[in-house]
Amino acid sequence: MKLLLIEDNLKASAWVRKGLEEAGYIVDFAADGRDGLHLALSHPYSLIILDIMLPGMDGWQVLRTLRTASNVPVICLTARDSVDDRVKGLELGANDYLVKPFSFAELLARVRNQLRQQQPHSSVLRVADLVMDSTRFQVTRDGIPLTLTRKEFMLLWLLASRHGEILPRTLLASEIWGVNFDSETNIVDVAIRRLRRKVDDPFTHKLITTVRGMGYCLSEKAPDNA
Amino acid sequence: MHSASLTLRLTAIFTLIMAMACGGISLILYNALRSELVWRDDQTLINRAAQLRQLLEDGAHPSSLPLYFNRMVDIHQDILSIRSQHEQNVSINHTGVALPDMSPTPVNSPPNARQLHRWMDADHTEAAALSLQANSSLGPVTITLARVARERAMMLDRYRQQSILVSLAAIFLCAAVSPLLIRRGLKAIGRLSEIVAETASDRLNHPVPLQAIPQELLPLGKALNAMRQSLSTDFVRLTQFADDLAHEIRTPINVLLGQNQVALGHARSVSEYQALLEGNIEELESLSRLTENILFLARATHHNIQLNKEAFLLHDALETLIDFLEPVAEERGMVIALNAEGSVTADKMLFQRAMTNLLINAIRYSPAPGQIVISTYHRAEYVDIEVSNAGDVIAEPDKLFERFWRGDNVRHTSGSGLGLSLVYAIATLHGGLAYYRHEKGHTIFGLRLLA
Repeated sequence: MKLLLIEDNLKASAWVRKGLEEAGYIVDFAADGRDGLHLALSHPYSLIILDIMLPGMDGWQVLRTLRTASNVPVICLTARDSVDDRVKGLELGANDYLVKPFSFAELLARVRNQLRQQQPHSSVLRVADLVMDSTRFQVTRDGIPLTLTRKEFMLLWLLASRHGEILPRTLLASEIWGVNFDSETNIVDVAIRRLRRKVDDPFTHKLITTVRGMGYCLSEKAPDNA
Repeated sequence: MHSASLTLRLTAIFTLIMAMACGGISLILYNALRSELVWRDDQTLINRAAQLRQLLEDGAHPSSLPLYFNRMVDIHQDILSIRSQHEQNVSINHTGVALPDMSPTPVNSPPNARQLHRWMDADHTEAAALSLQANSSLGPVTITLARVARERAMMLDRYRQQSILVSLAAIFLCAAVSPLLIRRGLKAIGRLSEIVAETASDRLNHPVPLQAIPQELLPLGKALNAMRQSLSTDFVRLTQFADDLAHEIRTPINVLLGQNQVALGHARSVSEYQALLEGNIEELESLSRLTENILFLARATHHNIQLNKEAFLLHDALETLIDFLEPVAEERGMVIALNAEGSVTADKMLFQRAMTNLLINAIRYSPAPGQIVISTYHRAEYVDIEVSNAGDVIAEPDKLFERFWRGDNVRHTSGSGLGLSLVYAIATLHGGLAYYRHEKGHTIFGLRLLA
């Protein structure tokens, strides 16, 4: 999948590109708003990552012009985090919003989130021997039913539906508990630990992996550092 | 552009007032003097006419009257004319002014000021005349007396000139002396400015000596003292804050530097490098969180945060948080009880953030196992949301909400020491406050928001 990154800070764009390319995306890059808009309008990108603070034509202008012609998902990056900026971005048609400094895991998770929204959901999930049925609220591993609380089910569903991806703690807190601020606690870790106790501890094959400094990942292959 | 100098403005005002006063006084005095002189001249004329008429009635010969007259009058400004049908007319007139025609006052009516005939002569000098009929021994005669008020005019002229001179002198004196006096008066401002200018940051807490400044400047002096006091407090706080901040940042930076240098000292396995990078990320994340929090506090202090206010049910908002925090509470053997009702209008995310901080403190620092109770109290204008748990009295409660303050017993535990100051900042942003009290063996932290 082809993404476009519009960002004037070369150091920042270098690691974002590298990260996204290693995550399997093809990334085009523009260092100012005019070039970015030109690229965005002339190529069919799956997603655009747009910095708001750009020299010359700023991100708002790019977004406004872009929206007149295209519905491609846009994630805005900005150093400012006041509410009105956020509201302005969403009003102008941004699909998501990240405040600098952000972690790469967070960006990647949001990029995947946007790209996934165009795919249909299913009510039954299968990852290795884990089977989840969201309509009947049932979980089995290796055919053995597991008893999970509602939140644990939601957490496991989120991890399983995005298996193979690293999900940062902030994203989990926001998606599962609606907590949209950095709570400076190990709450997500505790919740994951409790989930593992039910989902992984009784089985030899562990599904949930901790990626230090990044987040959590549910994957089919046996983790080597669980 | 500066506004015009105070001295200049005051001098102009003083001079103007002086000019107006001098002009007014001179004018009033001049008019009074003038009407007095006119009255005197008129009286002289009337008395003289009456006297002459009496003389004639008593039998004096009209031709002898000039003799009396010459003794009585100043012939340079007085005129006498006696007309008779039988005798020769008598006329004494050295003034060069012709008498106008007028009808004489009849014999039996005494002369008065109303009968005076007034006119201006060719030199614009005022003149007045009185004509009387009288019975002399030789038959009826007409006496006409007149005065051309030359002396009066000269006197008034002199008076006018002197008044103008004196007034001008007074005005010039005022214009010259006022600036000096005003400057002297304003020296107190200069002194005050010097005192203020001399103030170095370390001497902010020395107040401006109020006894040295005049009463008019007392409000300014007091205001300055109040400002210096708050500046001094802020300055101390800022310095302390900078110290604490440097300390907080230095520690993770030292860790980062150290662990990277040690790692580069020898060739290591991939997994060791991986662990190093993961360690780096953790340190950097805490640094990033620290800067975010400090930025938030700084902007909150200047009310530079836009609140996304909405009305929400307290019970629901708090239940979400308990849901979120319960696993951690359970690990420490804490149970959270919720006793909330009603709603509040606030930025929900900030509200939850403040409450999370209070709850996490309660979970971390209260003796386990135990219970944490969240209660809400609706008062007239505000809502108190309190988190209560068993605990000892906290030393130095007034410092609790300061940045980086941490009780000695918790210095070794995790947390940045910004949690409670964030709670306080969030409360202040909503026009409320955060408080602490100890009651019946319970530590109670509260968030007070406007209802």
